[in-house]
Order: sequence, then C-alpha cells, then structure tokens
Amino acid sequence: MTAQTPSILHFSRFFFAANAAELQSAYEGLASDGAPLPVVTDWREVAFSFNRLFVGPRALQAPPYASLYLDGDDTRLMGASTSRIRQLYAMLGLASPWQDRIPDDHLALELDALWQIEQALATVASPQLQDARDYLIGRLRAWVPAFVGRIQAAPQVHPVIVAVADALTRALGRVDPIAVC
Amino acid sequence: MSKRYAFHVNMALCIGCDTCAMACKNQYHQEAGIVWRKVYPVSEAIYPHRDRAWMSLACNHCDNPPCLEGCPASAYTKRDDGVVVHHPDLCIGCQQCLHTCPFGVPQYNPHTKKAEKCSLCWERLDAGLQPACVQGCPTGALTLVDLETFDDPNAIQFPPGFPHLPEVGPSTRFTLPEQPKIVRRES
Amino acid sequence: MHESKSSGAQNIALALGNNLSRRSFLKILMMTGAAAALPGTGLLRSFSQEGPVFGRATFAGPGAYQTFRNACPRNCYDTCGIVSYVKDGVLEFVEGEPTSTYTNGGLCVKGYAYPRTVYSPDRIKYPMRQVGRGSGNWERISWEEALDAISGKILEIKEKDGSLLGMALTKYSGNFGITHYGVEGMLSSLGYTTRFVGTPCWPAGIDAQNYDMGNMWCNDPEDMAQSKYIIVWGANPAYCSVHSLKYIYEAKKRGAKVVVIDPVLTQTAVKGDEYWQIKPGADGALALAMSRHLIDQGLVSREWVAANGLGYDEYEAYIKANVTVEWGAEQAGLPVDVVKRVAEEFAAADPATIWIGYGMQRHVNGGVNVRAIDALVAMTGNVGKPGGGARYGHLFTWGFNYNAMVQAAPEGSVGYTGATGPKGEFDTGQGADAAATYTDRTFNINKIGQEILDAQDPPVRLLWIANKNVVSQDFDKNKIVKAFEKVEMIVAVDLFFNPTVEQADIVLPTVTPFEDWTVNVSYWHYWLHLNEQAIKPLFETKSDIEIASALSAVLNAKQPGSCTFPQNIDAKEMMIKEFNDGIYQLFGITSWEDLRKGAAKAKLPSSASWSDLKFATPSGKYEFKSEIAQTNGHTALPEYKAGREAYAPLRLLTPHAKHGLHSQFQNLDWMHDLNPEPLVYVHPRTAGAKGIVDGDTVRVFNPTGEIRLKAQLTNNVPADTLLMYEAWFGAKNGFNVNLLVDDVSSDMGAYKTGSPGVAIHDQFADIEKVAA
Ligand code: SF4
Ligand code: SF4
Ligand code: SF4
Repeated sequence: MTAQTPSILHFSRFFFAANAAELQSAYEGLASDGAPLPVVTDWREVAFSFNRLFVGPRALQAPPYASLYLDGDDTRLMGASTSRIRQLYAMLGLASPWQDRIPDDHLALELDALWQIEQALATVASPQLQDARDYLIGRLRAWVPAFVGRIQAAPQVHPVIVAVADALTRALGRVDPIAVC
Repeated sequence: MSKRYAFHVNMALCIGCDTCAMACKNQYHQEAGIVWRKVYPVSEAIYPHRDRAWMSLACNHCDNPPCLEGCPASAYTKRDDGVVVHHPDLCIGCQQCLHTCPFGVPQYNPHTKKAEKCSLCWERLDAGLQPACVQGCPTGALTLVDLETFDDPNAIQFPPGFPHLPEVGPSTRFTLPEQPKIVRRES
Repeated sequence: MHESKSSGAQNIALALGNNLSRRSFLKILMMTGAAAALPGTGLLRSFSQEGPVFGRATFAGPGAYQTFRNACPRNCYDTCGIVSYVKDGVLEFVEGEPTSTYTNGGLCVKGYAYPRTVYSPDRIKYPMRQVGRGSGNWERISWEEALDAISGKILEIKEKDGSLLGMALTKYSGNFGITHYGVEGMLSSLGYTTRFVGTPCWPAGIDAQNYDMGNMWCNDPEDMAQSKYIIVWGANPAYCSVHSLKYIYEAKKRGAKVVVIDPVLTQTAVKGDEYWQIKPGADGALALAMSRHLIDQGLVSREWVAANGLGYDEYEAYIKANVTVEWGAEQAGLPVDVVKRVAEEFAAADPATIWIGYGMQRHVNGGVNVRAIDALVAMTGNVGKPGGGARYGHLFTWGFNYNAMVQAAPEGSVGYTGATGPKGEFDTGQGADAAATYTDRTFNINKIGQEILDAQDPPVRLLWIANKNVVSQDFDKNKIVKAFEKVEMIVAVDLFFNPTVEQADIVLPTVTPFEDWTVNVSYWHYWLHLNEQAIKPLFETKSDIEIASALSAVLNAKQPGSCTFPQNIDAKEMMIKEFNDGIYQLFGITSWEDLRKGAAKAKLPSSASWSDLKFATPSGKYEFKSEIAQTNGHTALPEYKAGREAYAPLRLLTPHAKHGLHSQFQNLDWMHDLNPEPLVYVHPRTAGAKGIVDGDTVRVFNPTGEIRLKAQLTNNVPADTLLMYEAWFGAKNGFNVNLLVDDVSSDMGAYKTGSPGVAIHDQFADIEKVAA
C-alpha cells in the first residue's frame, strides 16, 4: 500500500455511511491512509449534503447504483447490471445480507467486493480472482466517472464529498493489475 | 397456411387512454424517452375535437418492409407469420432504418447505440399469449388479427392522416372514429 | 462488454451470462483456497452453498416467473386485480387479473407503471429527520431513533395536556387496502386523539343516496351491458374507470342509446350517441326540468312510485309549482326540445340507468342535485332493476373485520366530551363504545388549514399524515402551509418526496402494494382481490401496520400500557385476520387462500341494488321526501338550490387526470414520456380575447392563489370555463391546482362521513398571458 492510495475499504464504508459519525470514521480512515483531504469542521453539514446526493428523502442528486449509469436507464433500480454484479458476488461465494432490499450494485457493495478480492490476492495467487478483480475495476471505471460527474454538478454539494469522490476516481485510475492492498 | 399477424386499431372504440403504450413499457422497460407504441391524437382537420380521437401505433410489420430492405447489416428479418423482427446483436447502429421506415417507427437508443422497435411481442406470441399492448387495451380497440382470415368490411388500411403507401403494405388495419350528436350551451 | 477491457475480465463477463461457468468458477476458487482467502466479513458475506441462479430477458417465457396476486389500492373505481411477475426477487412486469371479468387481464396506464414506482431511485428509503422544517437538511435516522422521537412527543403531549387530543391524524386514499385502516387503529390504540374526518371525494352524493334510499348502493357495473339507455352524468370513465367502458360499448352494440352530460366534451362524451354541454352546477335544475316533462307527458311510473315511494305526491306538487321545462333547460344552458326528447326516450327505455359521477356533486348544491337525479331514475321505475339504477358507488363488499382498525384506548385515557359523528365513509360503527365517556375530537378533513389555525385546548401539536399528500391534494395550499407552522411535530409516511414530506419533521418510508400483505375491494365493482407480498420491502420501508406495531413496542417499553396496538405483528397474519365468515359467504370462498388462485366476485342475489325494493330508509321506501334530510338542515324534497356565485370571470374545473390518480403516478418518468407537462385548457374565443395563442405560458389566478403553466386551446371546454387536471408532476414541477381551489364546503356529506364535501368545481379564476 502506498501513501497516496487509500484503502478501497474506507471508500466503501464512506459511501455506505448511515450518519455523520460513520462518515467521519470512514473519512478518518481515508485520511490515515494518506489521502490529501480537507479538514472538516461540521460533520452534520457533510451528512446533509451526503443525504441530498445519495440517500434522500428528496430525489437523489447522484444515486450510487451502477445500473442507473450502465443500463442507460437512470430511473430504475434493480436493472440488468444489478443482476450481473450479484452474479459476480455469487461467483466469489459472497452475498449481500440486504439482497433484494438494497440493490447489489450500490457503490459501497461493489467497492467492498473489490476490497475483499484484494485482501485475498494479498495471500493467495489466483488467476481467477485476478480476472474477477480486472472485471470489477473495469466495471467501476465504466460508471464511477459519470457518478462523480453528477456529484460535482450537484447544487449545494459539500466540498468534502467532492474531495472524496475525486480521491476515489484517482484510486480507481491508479490501481494496476498488481494488488495494492 | 401460415398466419399474417397485424394490429387492428379500432378508433371508434379507442379512448386514447395510453394503456397500450404503458403496457409495452411495463413489459420491456424502455428507458425514458423511448416508446415503442405511441397513441397519436388525430388532427382536428380530420376529427373536429382536439385530443378526442386517437391512433395507437407501433410497428406496422409491413409486407415489404423498407427497414429490412435498407438495412446494411441484415439486422431485420420477417418471420413467416409476418412479424418484422429487429435483431440487436446484428444491428450496427447506422440508423439507416430510421430514415427508410416511412412511418418513423424504429428509434435510436443512444445507450445501446442501436435501433429498436416493436417486436410484436413475438416471444409472447410464441408462448401462445397476446402482445402486451393488446392484452392491456381495456376497450377492445387494439386487437391482434390474422390478415389471412380477417374480413371486417369497415376496416381500412390507409385512414386519413396515415401515409398512403400500398407498395410498402403496412399490415395495420383501422376502423374510423365516430362522432356523437353535440348539444352545446349558447355562451 | 463496455465494462471490461482485459481478456481476464472478458472471461468473467462471459461467465456472468452462464450459470454453469459461474458455478465452476466458484468451485475453482474453493479448490485453490482463493475463496477461503476472501475475508467474507465485509459488507458482503460468504455463503457456503452454490450461488443462486440469475439472468434476465425481455419476456422470458411463461414458466420463467413466479407470479403473485396484487391489487391496485389507489382509490380508483376499477381497483384492479394485478398479477405480478417476479424473477430473482425482482418485480419484472405486471398484468391485469385474468380471472376477473371486470379487469379482464388488463390494467390501465397507471397500473402498468407500477414497476417504475417500486424501483424508482427517488423512493423514500430510510426514516429521516429534517433539521429545520422546509430547510432541505435531512439526517438519516434509524427506525429506533425515529420512533423514540415520536413516542417521546406523544408522552410529552399526554403529560402536558392530560390527554392526547393534541395528536391529530389526517389520512385518506393513498392506499385503500383493508389493513391500512390500522393507521386509524394506531391512533385509537394510543388513546383519544384528534381526527380529520370526512372525505374530499364523494360525501355529498353519499348523503344524498342515504336520504333517498337509506344507503349508497349501486348496481354491478357489469350489468350496464343490459341497459337500454345510459346517461353518464358528470363522470368520465374514459379517464377514471377504463374497464367500465366495455359494458357501455356492449350496451350500445345491443342498441342502447348513450347520452353524456358534462360541462366538458370529455373523452367519454365523444363515445356516446349524444353529448350535452351542461352549465356546471345546474344538474339539479336539469333533472327537475326532465322530471317536469315526465309529469306533463304522463310518463311517470305511477305504479312504481305508489308502491315504493314516500312523498312522491309532494315532490310532484313542488315541481308543478316551481319548475318549468323552459326554466330548467335555460338554467342548464340547453335547448328545451332536446331536454324534452331525451326525457321521453329515457322514460320509454327499459331498463334505463344514470351513472352519477363524483364530479357533479363537488358543488355547493351537489348533494341536492344528486337527489334530483336519483328521483328521476326512481320516477321512471328504474331503481332496483338489472341494467337500471342510479349508480353512484357502494360499500356492500367492505364488511371486513377491521381488525387492524379497531383498537381500544389504553386504560385511563382522557378524551373529548362533545358530540361527534362518523369518522369517514368507511366508519361502520364497529369499535364504537357507547358506554365510553370520551371520544376523539373530530375536525373537517377538507379544511385542514383552517382547523389547525383555529384549534385550541389543545392545539394540534403532533400531526400524523399517512396515505395522503395533504399539501398537494387538500384545499387552499397556501393556508395549509401557513397552518403547519403552528404544529410542533409533523410526521409523514410516504413513498416519494412530495410537497407534504417537504414540510415534515420526520418522514417514514413506506411500502408499495408489492411489498405488502392486504386485501382490496372496490366501491364500484364487486370483485375481491388478495394482495400478496411479491417482493421484499426495499430498503427500510415498512407498511402502516408494521409502523404502528413498532411504535407500540417503543411506547410500551417507555411507559407500559401506553399503547394497545399489537406488537411484533406478522403482516400476513394481520391480513388473514381481516376476513370473516360474512366475507367468505358473500364471495363464495372457503378461505382467503382461494384468492391466491384468482379473484372472487360477490354472489349477488341480483346484479341490481335494491332488487327487493326494500329500502334502508326509516320508511323502508324510496324517500322522495326525507325527514332526515330536513332534520339535517336541508330541504326534505330535492328542491332547486342555486349554485355558488362567481367570484372571478371564468369557471375553473380541476377534475381527475388520465395519467394519474390524485398525486400518484404522474411523477414517474414513464408517465412523463406520455404526458410531459400540465396544461390549462382554454376555449379559443376566450384565449383570443386575451391575446393567448396555443402553447403560451399563462398565469391563472384568483383570490386563493395563482399558477403559471402552458395553455392549450380547445373547444372541448366552454368559453366561460378553464380546465386543468389535478396532478403532482414530481419534485421538479410546482404545479398544484389547489393553489386555486378554496375550501368552501358542498351542501352535504356530514351525515354519513362526518364532514361536508368540498365545492371543488365551484371555483373561478382569471387568466392572462405572461411574458415567456
Ligand atoms: S389501450 Fe386501447 S383504448 Fe387505450 S389508447 Fe390504446 S388502443 Fe386506445
Ligand atoms: S413500420 Fe417501419 S419498422 Fe415496421 S416493418 Fe414497416 S418499415 Fe419496418
Ligand atoms: S406488440 Fe409488444 S412490442 Fe409491440 S407495441 Fe405492443 S407491447 Fe410493445
């Protein structure tokens, strides 16, 4: 792990945060990985913006679900890409405990899968896992930029979230076929 | 004898309720902006009350389909039962069919970068079911007929407002709308 | 595959489409120890057995889906049975219930949009708290936190006021599933509270039919096919009851004549044989004029009125003394000869029927107008006949247990001591405890803004809103928003972020019919539909009764005995508990499980209501003269009552839309594909005088408020009338007809529903072009 490449785990937990405290703890994880991130004074403000972007109750500014970007249909959850990523999890012997409730293509779940693969590759050499990892990175690179674009374009967006999104883009751009974590 | 499937659009019964259009979206989940069946209002020049007579149109599954003839990738085929099928796996997205179809039926999907159109629900037909739109129509205005046996004397092929193209042979048949006696207030 | 670049990724992409390769892939991972190296303890968890089978296609063949039975509960005549097709836990598409001859395998444009509702990324997903009402600053909170805050408020109110009358409920028709009356049950289980009672929909007509016949009870709509003459009076089934049209068509095919009476040349109007453009609110005058002509021509069914009527002679005397055909025709704006001809045709046809729409009773004289039309049907001997009848609606099939609704107040609860009436049209009186010293405090559901502003001792401190988008759908929007400022806490339970949720402090996410267990019937047809849970509730959504149950658990933990609502309920069990022998017998089923195979229809002695001509009035007769009406402050006879004075130059009508049901459905993107924006419909002559051309942006305004939108020119509307269809177009569009509709009451409604209705169509406005 290099100083500039924060763990995918912390990105995953950041985008899955349920409240200001969870945001803060994931953020601190990212910062401890060495990501250059701004200092936050009011985590509640970050949470308000986070909810406008990803949670609700208003129509989402940047819904964090892959199928909305990959399937060309940005108003339907549980699209074909949701089903595909669920299959990938299944191939890895993984499943989401929120299956059929939270779509399997939530950014945090996809990142979690990537993190788990990288954990495994750190201890075993598996061409299959390597393939799965390449696939997942390719998939994330296919939709995350559009997702980050919506974050950047959102009105009233908190700069900290833009910073995390940019750091994620960099992290996904930098990972090479060799396991980094 | 093989069948020749066609839609019969009975405008005397149609209430323009858009159920057929939505039934199609419900089955195929076309993205916002893409509609395979559309219920068009008949212009006031033809029917004197605005938005009160309608033509529910999708693909006409023509006898001599120009979409098929003009497609450089052979992405269109016509089945024995008359259904004109577009094959997305063969489609190269050149949009030729958008121009050659005289009824403006195929639509370009910018996401898949391919054309698409009404399939006459051939998967449903093959399973012995009605097309989704036909099953959905609450008034019996939209029906599936077999032109080999269909002989409604009131049905016509080219109603006013519909392109008159006998050489293309659109299979859709129409029954014209009627008008009530109207008593208006003097105001 | 756009997602993959390297050949390794390509292998994966191919494997994703193939169950066999996926399984062998996992096998290799397990054999090589790679699977064990995955942490398996992240967000995603390891599972040991082989993965489930996934895949998706357009129509994957009839055997590829699991099917479930559902019902559309959104307050519609048709209340369609739905067959839901589910694959891999995902609702793929819906169809109409094929076993119901009414739905006949199809839905309507709204029903077919359901998959979009369920999987809209805009659904409310989690309980959330707004920090500063209207601020848009929302925190996600857990259900525990939400219920802690709400229960804290409830206990605080009880402590402060000594009663829970400071907690109020407004709920209506967002979901008419029987278990959803558990919302009322939740309030009852807390003690005596304040209830917004009545209905914005149809109360004047309900009272009218109760005065005349002792109940509101319509024929089976399917028997319209046997009618020889059908008058559709102020109803627009082509928009609001599409499945009824086929019976009218069938009657026409068999030679019946269809006359449509409506201020607007509706889609239904052009499907009849004859259309009358009536002056709004003049329905009573027209019915009286037609009755006068029948009297003059000796066409009254003397035998029928003598055998079955009460006070007919007085009614006839009233008409002879006060009504002429010329006068009534002029009131209605119609030619005398036409009125006479149709009156004669109607009397000559056997059977003949009138479908009385809900639109025509939304007037200050709406109730008495319905009575005059009822009388016309009765005078011709058409009440109680298959194919005949004064059709308005019914509650004949609603005899469930209301197990979720009927809850006892906790011991020692203190409440209101004044007199109260029924709490809405579905109040069967069950659960009412005559011996109780206290009751709930009732407010008029149709004047929520005014009632909250006026409420004292105690004021409304906590407002619970369920199944209702109050700020969009209730009257005088600006007044409502102002009144909400007085309320200390507002809790909204909803599916989407609508203008009501915008004003809430806490929003609770709720389920669609596909994530719920309940049972549904119609107030028009006679079918019964089961609603099964077809998919898991998305995110953290809960049904109304699950919310009530969870709240009860929290309250009882804090203060034992403070809530009687059952805790740890099972939604399916609760659904089962709504059934009783009466329902089983009426529908000819032995168990609710029979409904899993399809819908059931009530076994009616006749398709006609009142077929035995034994009316439920005090006299047992059809009461042309009703003493109860008189006692309640109306005329005993359906006498002429003038409409509302115009308060602006043009009449404003805001009826039901084609693409939505109140504020539901029109917000979906699929619906925007078919109907992108709201319009105001203006007669070309009226537009011309104001320099408005088709597509211009205009301002429609009156003393209540204003709306800006595009104008469409059409002579479907009269020159003195503006028309716009009520709808909520979603968060990006502020369109709301109730910026222009005040809360003036209609004449009737209080008798059977607890509050009078609203004169929705007695509104006036002006229009002008605005610079684009
Ligand atoms: S569903 Fe039938 S009645 Fe409705 S618009 Fe389509 S064809 Fe017309
Ligand atoms: S209507 Fe157009 S797309 Fe359909 S068969 Fe004819 S030419 Fe082809
Ligand atoms: S036949 Fe099928 S594909 Fe064609 S318009 Fe109807 S529902 Fe859509």
